[in-house]
Amino acid sequence: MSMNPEDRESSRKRHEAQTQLDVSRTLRAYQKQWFANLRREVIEEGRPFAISGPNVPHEIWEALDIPFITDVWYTGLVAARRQSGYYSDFLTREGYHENLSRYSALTWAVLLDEENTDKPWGGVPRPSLVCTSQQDRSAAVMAARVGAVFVPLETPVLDKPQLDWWKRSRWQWEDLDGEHRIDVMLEQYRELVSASEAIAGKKLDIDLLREIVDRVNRQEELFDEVRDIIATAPKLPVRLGEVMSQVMGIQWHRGTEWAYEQARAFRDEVKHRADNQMWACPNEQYRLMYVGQGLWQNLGFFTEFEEKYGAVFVRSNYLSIAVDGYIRYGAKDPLRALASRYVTMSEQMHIPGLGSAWAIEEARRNRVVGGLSIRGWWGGKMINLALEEEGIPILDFPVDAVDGNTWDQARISALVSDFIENRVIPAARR
Amino acid sequence: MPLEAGHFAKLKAHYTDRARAMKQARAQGGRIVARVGSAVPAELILAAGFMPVLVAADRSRAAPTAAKYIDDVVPPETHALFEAAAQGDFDEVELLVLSRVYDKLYFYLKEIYRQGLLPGLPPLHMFDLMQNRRAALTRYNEDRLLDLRLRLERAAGAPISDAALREAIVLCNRARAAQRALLDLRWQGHIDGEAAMQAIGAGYFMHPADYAEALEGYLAQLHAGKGAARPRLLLATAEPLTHTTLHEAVERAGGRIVAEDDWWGARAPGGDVSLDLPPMEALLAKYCFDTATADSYPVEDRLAWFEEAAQRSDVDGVIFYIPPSDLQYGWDYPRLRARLQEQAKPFLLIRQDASTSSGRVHLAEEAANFIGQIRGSRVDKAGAAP
Ligand code: SF4
Ligand code: SF4
Repeated sequence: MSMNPEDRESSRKRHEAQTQLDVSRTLRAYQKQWFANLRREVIEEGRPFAISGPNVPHEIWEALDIPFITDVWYTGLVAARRQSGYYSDFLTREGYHENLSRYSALTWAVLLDEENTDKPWGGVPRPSLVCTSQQDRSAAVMAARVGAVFVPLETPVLDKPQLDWWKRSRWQWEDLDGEHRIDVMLEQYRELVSASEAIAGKKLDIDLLREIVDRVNRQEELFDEVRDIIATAPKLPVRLGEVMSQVMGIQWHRGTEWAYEQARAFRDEVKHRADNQMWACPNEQYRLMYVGQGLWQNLGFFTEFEEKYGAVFVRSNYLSIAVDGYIRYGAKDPLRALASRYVTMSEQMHIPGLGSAWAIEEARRNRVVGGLSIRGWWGGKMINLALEEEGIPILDFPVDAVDGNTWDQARISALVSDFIENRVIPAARR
Repeated sequence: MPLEAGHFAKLKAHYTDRARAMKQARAQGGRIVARVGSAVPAELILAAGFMPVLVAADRSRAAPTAAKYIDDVVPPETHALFEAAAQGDFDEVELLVLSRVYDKLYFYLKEIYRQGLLPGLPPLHMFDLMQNRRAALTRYNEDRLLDLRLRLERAAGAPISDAALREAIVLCNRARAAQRALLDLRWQGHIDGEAAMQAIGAGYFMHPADYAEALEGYLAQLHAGKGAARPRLLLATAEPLTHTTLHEAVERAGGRIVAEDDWWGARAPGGDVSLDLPPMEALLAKYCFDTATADSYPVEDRLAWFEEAAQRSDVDGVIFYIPPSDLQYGWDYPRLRARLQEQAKPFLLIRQDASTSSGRVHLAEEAANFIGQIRGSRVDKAGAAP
């Protein structure tokens, strides 16, 4: 589609202003309300509150009615407000050198920074309990700084990686994850349950937990439908930035009634748009994917390439891992199903062999002709090589996923344009 | 003193040429099992009839194959070890046992082997011991140790007898005792940091019997007079010191490194493996709770050791080596630094990578300044001109 400069400018403005999905608005409204309630309950009513890393069995806290946030969710909020540069500098001033990962730590920076009062959604209250992977040293250090109970989780190494893991994860998880590995996670979850019960002042109701674990399964089934619609519709019905925000916004509340209902509304809206041929970019020409992490610091960045080339981003890990990584059927013991759900969570997207096999499957499913890989994702090079071997060009993207200080608009625009013109377009023509 | 020279020369030769002992053993028909990381029990390997050899990263070697497959966020040590595998360094080895901190190396090697690109690679065994005191992990750790034992028995084609295991424990304890004696002499100022690193590090490559003999022989000759009074420094490192670059630079600048918080130096021996417990139980206790590794051994224990050492009145200053590749230690650094500031203990932070030439230049300058400052403040305190 060719446009004159004025049209293009007005189109660009429309794009920037445009939120295509109703659920984007309801999600945001809910989250704000939920977080304001959480702050009130914790700050005014003194309710105990927990902070977790990304691969922690929240379902337990859901069942015990302990309010919590996930560090990386809040970090995403910091990034979206373009405050990641500021808080990254804050950590540097506190002595934490700039090569240390800011991914989860920005949340703590917001908590610790007493000077700047302009914080995302009012800021993070002090937690009573923190649970993350043992490997996340920042959380242990920060929990100690604020005097919170810290429960670390040691993840057993995946000694027998299986390439087609996503085909086995729903029903064959005992074999896939290994009984010995599930056992050791389960033992640690029992410790987490005790620590959480002490804070909640009540005992875990295992039937309620089972309900929650199952509700997560059903929510991910809805995401499975969304993935299918996006993959099979003639053109992309929803912008990827909105999909990513929606998926993660729901995932951080997985197990709640709200999350299930929101996922259903999301599925309905995507389906409605596809059925009615409402495309994110009617001039869609080239379908691209994110490999590894998403560009949270600038979700709107790629709109520019829709206009210029009809290039759309159709796929990221977030929706697909929700579908392929979380579902656990047939559990006798819900705590054991949880142990399996998280024992390899996110690692399967990195581990050489596993990450590539899945990325290739995803690329085919979503009919992509190119991809973008943000540097800093371990295992990324192997995945990029594998995709290139399949004839899918990959741009190795040299910015931090959340740290706004690494962003240089002109340079990065030029890089992407060059990639599309010189690699994607020729590859798509082949 | 030709005898001293002889023993030390032997240790140094094995420290420098790390494949030497392995090649000698192979030439005599010996069978090799390689350990990746310190948290793999040499005792079990010995008791199964193999010679245990540690594989160490050589950062000075170019690593083009690793650079092709492995991301920059993965520690350079992993790049170097992968490169060694790609260059065929392990082809003579019957089994490669990797400890927990090298899980990424395990994944890369396994996948590249699967692709048929590393045909000479020996079988791999992931020994996933979790170095943590929590009760929830005990059963898992016990099973991992038993798994390793069974794997070694399978490779050997015979079970490991209790007598053989006991003998191996006694032998390795002998080497540890000699290392602890060396560390004492070092604190007393009888030996430089660089020489100490070489004498300790050789133990990872030599047969423990040869090693204990050589080290004991060296120590017996070591009672000579103290070296000149030089600022005594403690070294904390975010990265395993598989080399002596830092020691050389600091000692050339006039300091002396009396200990380092690293498994290549002062943290190598730890205590003995108990002979009062059943051997498997004793090994588990040793390797879970008293074996320094790259970054994960009970971190509280690690920091406690450091703080105790740093507080000593005979430590004049602390050098932190936290190169850009660090992803963990830096989170603890501000707290450790604050403690030193409270105690008015001088410290220096080195952030440049000492494996690069510009990093070495920077290191030499910084070390010289730091040592100069410590000397100056001593003179101030003494109230006299030099
Ligand atoms: S038509 Fe589709 S996009 Fe428009 S308001 Fe209705 S659901 Fe939303
Ligand atoms: S075709 Fe795409 S780029 Fe052009 S105006 Fe429509 S949505 Fe925007």
